[in-house]
Amino acid sequence: MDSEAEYIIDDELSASNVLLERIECLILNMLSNSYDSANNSYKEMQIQLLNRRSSTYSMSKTMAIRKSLGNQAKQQTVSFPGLAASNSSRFAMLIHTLDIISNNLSNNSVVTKRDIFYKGKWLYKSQYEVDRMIDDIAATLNVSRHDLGIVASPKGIMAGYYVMKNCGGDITKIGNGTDVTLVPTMEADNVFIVLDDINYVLVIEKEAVFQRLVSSGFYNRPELGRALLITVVISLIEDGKGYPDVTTRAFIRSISKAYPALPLFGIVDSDPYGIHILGTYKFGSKAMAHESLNLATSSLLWIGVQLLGYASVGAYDVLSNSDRKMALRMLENVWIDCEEASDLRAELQKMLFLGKKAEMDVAGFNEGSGMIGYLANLLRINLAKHCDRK
Amino acid sequence: MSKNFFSTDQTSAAHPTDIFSVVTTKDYVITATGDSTIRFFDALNTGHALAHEIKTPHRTGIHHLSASPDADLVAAVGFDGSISLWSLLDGKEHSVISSPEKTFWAVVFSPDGAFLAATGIDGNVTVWDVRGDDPVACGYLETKGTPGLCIDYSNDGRYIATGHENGGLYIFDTETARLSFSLPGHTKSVRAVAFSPLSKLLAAAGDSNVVTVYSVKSSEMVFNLAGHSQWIMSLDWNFEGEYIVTGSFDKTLKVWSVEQTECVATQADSDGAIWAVKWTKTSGTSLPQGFVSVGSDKTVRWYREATGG
Repeated sequence: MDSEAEYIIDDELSASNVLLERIECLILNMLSNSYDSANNSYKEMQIQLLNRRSSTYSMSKTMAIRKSLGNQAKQQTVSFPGLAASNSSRFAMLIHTLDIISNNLSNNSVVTKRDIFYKGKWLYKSQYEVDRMIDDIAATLNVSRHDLGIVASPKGIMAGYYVMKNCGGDITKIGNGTDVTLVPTMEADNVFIVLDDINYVLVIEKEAVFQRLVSSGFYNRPELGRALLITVVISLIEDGKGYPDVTTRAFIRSISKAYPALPLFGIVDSDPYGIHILGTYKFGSKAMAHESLNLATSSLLWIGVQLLGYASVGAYDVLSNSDRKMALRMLENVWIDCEEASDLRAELQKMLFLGKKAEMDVAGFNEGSGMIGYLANLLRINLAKHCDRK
Repeated sequence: MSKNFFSTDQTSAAHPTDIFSVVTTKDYVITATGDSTIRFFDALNTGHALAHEIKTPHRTGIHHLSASPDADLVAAVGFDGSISLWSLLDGKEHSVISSPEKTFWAVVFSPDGAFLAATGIDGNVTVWDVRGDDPVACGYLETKGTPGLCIDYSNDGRYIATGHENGGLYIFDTETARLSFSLPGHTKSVRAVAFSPLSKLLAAAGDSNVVTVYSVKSSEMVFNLAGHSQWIMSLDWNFEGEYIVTGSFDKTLKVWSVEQTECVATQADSDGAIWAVKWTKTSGTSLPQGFVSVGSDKTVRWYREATGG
């Protein structure tokens, strides 16, 4: 597992190969057309792209393709060297993005739009440029963005107690429990967050669990006190996992810097993905290694769900072969050997040893307390431990 | 009739993480864990001091061990699926067995120490001759292919038994290199198999929470032992074959009388799941018999039989 967004798509191999060939054709045609055999010299290199209008931007994949092929689509020529500098940089973006796509297709991996922007900041001026280029390429190849191994970035949401202020110190928003809002992009939105009033922050892998906690009033349980709950929304169409986006990670990191005494707890499934997601919050992802100092929150404490914490073994699932491989790959990583990851390492070993995994949704199921009771108990124990340490 | 065992000692934080495996020799109790070390604790003297430690190259941790009966080699299996062999005389590495296509899981030495047998995720058994400087693969036994979780070699050297994730339980004849029996009875993972000391019986246990005991000759089930409330992770016959000790995910150890086919002692001292239990090798000494357990609470616990009662 190299990056937060690299996961395997099993059944699309042949389609990928066809696409890969078409991209190679595109490049080869460009190269052979740029050679002027009559004069034995080279002309400028050109690729014809279909220009997709922004109106199709956020539509579902089938819709988007149909529409992009409709009347609105128009040809554009991207060339190098171009008439203007901007045309040359657009050419560079095109080649760079095609390179990323080829990589995705040959490795069967997936990247987020956000990743492409952050890794290519030297080239792209904005996320919008990335999004537009991807959509144009998808339209030209007559496939969906998803077919190119590119998914929309997940988004962080939160509920609970907080006060948001702008740089002038004016209050812009007050979280008072149940309202769910997007996690702010600290720099861009020009805001900072005040958390004077809460006992802990809880980061939850699964949005469904987050929603259940919010609707049960978990952010203000009598025995636990007030809290801020955070999760990441995943597009179901794109079959994503609960990997956090850059904004959410930067946000949690900024909380840990501003409130070092405030306990930050993380709760994920006890399966290899869950542990990897927790690891992404805590240590950063390889894809974003150059940014990990600003994005990783080493003080985020993994509290569960724990494979051995379930009173009944009936809740367990069998660890599949691909789960085994992923767990082993993580155990071979360097970050897993550091002191702060020792409990994650031990949890992966327990999974492998028992051949089992467990989802947080079914925690506490057999105890009669249900998932919410199980999580409340887990937090009570960890809040007490936190107090003891202080 | 109950039998009294009492806890004589415990080594807390014997390793920094789960202790997945324990084996006993006359001199040592040998443990292996997720931290990739093998530790040797003094088996004879109270206090059971740490005698020495081997730092193995299994970065991903170790989950199974076996010691050769004459106790000159110990084999360790890592989560990486490789097996390392260590000389007990000097603690030096003897050899490493690894294969890109194979993930080995559980190992056992033959009773004469000449062979090492391993089962793995592909469910098949490989046997090596380990008398020379390097192990030489000399046998291969095939099953239907679900992960093998446990393995034992009968004391007469005739049989190898393996237990599997899907409940499969097989006895192989080492002379013909053929499957003798496929034993029905388990539909859930079999996590522990062990032949009785006289090689007449085979005990198997796992996620069904029950120990089933079979006749090796006829493959008939002779009796079963029910009482654990969760998975049985480990079992071992005592030297005389009178008792079986089991360790469970339910955090308890149970001693079962083979003659009475019932539980005669239950120990519930552990805070966590028991991963492995073994009788200590006290035959031929003046020490009373006992056993050691290890598990998720990182502690080694020593028990011995109350005498003169």
